[in-house]
Amino acid sequence: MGKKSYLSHSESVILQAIASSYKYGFDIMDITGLPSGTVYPALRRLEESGLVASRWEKEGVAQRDGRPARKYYELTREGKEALAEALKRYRLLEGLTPRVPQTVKPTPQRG
Amino acid sequence: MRDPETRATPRLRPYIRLIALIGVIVPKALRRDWRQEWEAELRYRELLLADWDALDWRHKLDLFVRAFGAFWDALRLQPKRMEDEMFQDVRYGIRMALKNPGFTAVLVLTLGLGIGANAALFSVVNGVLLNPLPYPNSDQLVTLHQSKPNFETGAMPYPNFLDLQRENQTFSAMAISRGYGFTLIGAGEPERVNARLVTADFFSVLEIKPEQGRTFAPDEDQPGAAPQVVISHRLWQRKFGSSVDVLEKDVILDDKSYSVIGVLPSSFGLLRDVDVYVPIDQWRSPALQSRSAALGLHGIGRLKPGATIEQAEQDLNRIMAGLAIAYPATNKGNGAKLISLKARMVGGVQQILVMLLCAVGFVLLIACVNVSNLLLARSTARTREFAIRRALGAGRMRLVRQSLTESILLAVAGGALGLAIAGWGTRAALSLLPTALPRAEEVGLDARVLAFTIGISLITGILSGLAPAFKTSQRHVSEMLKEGGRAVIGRGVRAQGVLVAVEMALALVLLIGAGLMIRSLNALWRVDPGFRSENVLAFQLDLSPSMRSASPAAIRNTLRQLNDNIANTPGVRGVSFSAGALPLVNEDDLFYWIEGQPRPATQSEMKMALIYGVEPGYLTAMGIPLKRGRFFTEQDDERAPRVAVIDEAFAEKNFANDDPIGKRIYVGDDDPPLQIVGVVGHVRQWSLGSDDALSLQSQLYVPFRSMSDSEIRVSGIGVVVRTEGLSKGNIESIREAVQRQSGENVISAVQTMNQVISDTLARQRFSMILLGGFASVSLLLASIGIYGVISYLVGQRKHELGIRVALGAGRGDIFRLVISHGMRMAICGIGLGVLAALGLTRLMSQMLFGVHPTDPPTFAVIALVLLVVALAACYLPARRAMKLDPLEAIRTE
Repeated sequence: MGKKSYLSHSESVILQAIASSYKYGFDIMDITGLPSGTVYPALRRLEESGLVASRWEKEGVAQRDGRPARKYYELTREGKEALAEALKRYRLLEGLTPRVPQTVKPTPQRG
Repeated sequence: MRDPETRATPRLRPYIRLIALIGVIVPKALRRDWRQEWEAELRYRELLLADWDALDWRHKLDLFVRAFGAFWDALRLQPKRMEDEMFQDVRYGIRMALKNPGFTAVLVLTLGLGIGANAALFSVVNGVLLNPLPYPNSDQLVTLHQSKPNFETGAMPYPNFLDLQRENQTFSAMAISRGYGFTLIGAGEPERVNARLVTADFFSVLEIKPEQGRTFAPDEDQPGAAPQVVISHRLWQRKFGSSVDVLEKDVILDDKSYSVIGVLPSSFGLLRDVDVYVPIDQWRSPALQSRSAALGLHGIGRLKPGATIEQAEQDLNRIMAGLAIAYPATNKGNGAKLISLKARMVGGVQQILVMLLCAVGFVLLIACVNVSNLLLARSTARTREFAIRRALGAGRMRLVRQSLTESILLAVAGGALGLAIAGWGTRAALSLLPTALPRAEEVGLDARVLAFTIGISLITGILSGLAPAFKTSQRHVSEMLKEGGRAVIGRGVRAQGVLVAVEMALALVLLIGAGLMIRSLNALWRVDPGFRSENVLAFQLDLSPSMRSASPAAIRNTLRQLNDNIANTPGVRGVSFSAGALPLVNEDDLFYWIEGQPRPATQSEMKMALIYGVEPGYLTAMGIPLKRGRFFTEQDDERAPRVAVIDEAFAEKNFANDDPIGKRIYVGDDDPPLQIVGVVGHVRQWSLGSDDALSLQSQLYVPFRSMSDSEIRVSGIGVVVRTEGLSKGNIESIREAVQRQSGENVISAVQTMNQVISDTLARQRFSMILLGGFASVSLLLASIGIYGVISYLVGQRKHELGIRVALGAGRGDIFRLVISHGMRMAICGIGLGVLAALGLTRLMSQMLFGVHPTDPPTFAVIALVLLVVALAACYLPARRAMKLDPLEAIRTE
């Protein structure tokens, strides 16, 4: 898949959301307003084409809350390039997703 | 991912159950991670908000909606499933197939033949039996006949038809038509064309739209309407070069000019050989207005929506009952008979096609068994491969699936090949015997044939893969590894033996079916038709159109002259003009009663006889024997006392204990009686096979030359000629002799009587050729099967055979050992096949003639043939076994 030129608008929005630290699927849904049936398939596509990578959060955090560990997504280097490219096309994209206020969302711990 | 510790309660959350449910369709390899990701998000969200029980409905709904999105996510992951195991299987299967191209080619070819034959025959069944007729709402179309006490589908007199048309309540439209022949003049050479005289709504009943112009308007079949004609697409191409201005042209049919008003589409195939359609009232025959003359008129009708054939028949019979009261002399005892148009068109071939479809199904089964056998043999050779895969953790089902995938791949390739074979084969079979099938022009590959082919390909793949698949899965890994590449003579070979026996049995059933058809056809050929058909030509003669206005005396003169011209042509032995019936070609009949017996009050109580108007040369020309008295002479003409000759069936029926010579019979109300002067041999009028089954057998001959002035005709005269030998030159010199009298005389429909006979057997030949073909293919496949298994067996038993030889077994012993093994399979198969054939051939008894479905000689000969073929198939491997070097054979282990 072409990494730079074939990003759809929703994919670009999702990349932008991840770049703004909305790293979990549901958080991406919340900030972009896209339904889960759009966000997840798009995440799979982006992951397949190497623009994002997924990781599991640390087990301990999840265990403390009594829930399964969550999966979060990060931009790869290609993903960042693709987003920069997309921002040139979709000028309003940057303003769409405010950066995560660190107080509300716990920063995912790498694991 | 590691298993997270979860409290018991969240498992019961409805959204989590939903995720678990959707997770079922996620490819197995991804499923665990996928479920955890969704569960974690949903649980996290729930914890963020409140505990589930404390949540308000809007948040619950939101969680649900989000969980539903997982479905799209799961769908998105479906292609991964392909990459997963199935794709691996397919890729692996293709690699295996390509590694062994010869083996693969044999399998694909075998399956291709089997599937192709099935697809071809199914496309015929589909086109002829399954598809509706190519007319709008064709299930409403019926044919209409007048039934008589001894004949259900008789012709319908025109006035009766008009009454039915006017008074019925169940038809939306109704038309009637009859065949006719015209000499067409105008474009190019004068030519005899087949015509159909029709009522005006003939085309609107069928809802046929003309390709050019229009069809007849309602009043155009009335007396006094301008002469108009609708022509076939074929005639338009041939005579008018497909020119667009055909509608401004006129054609001359016989002596009248008709303007062309329409051209039918090329797809119109109801009456294949008819080229011109003319309104029936252009035909000024006084007999048309008679209720006693049926004139070969048959009706066609379109039922009102919702009306059934039974209702319509009741409706018409109500009217016919009224007519019987109003006109008892002609109508008493007559009713109406309706048959659906489709049944009327395809009725005769349904049984044959179904039988052939069964036969071809057998061929496919044999192909399956063969492929199954070959795969079984190979699976034994692949034992080590499967063992290693099992040892490395592949499940039993995984290996079964691998095997099935491989056989389905083969079958799909076979199916593609089969489709090509079918496309070609159908065309070839139909062009070989175009007259054998109705609706032949509608046969072709369509979506249903395609679906059928794909379906049987898959079934074939599964069927032929089942045995090898389960064989590989049954055994224990350690056992398989221990054996390595060498199989134990045991279960595997026994399974193959059973398959070979089944294959032999199937082939035997097919061969016996074909054998019985061949014997029937032979018996039919040997039937004495009552005349000697070799070297007899029959054709139609139309005198020059100028003769239409000639006086009867002039016409008689011309006919005499023509008869002399033909008789004097070198190589001609005998010639006769004929009117009325001609054996196996035309039918004509009349009512009669014997002088001295009371005249029956109504027609339906009178006796009927076939009527032949012939000349003195007829007996010589046709080779019919004179039994008693004399035949006609030159003197039996229009001025002589009226005489007749009867056949043996007529004599038997009316004068069983009496001498018929000198007796007199009446054939018309006002005509003086005919005196019987001779008796000739009976001739098969209807067909070689079923002639005796028809009730109308009595035959009456009258002199052609005694026809009254009003009966004398100038067109459509039948001619039969016996020659010394048939050749193109012969036909040409006869044509020359005819045209010497006038260049405008036309000869048409030239055929030899042998051809006529063979045409009446076209259907039997069609099924015999196909059945014979299928049987040959099955014999070939079965012999390949038995050869393959025995060869394989010899290969596998090398070690054992080597030891036997080393221990002192003679070469002859080895040879006998191998042969007897093969023969055991063959004999089991033959026994099984004979039992099956005893049951199955009874189903085809209606198609047989002169041979019993369980005919012992046929059974015996076929069983012997199969035995010999099996022996031959075992011979080569047995010889190989005999030449085995014991040292080498033992060492290879």
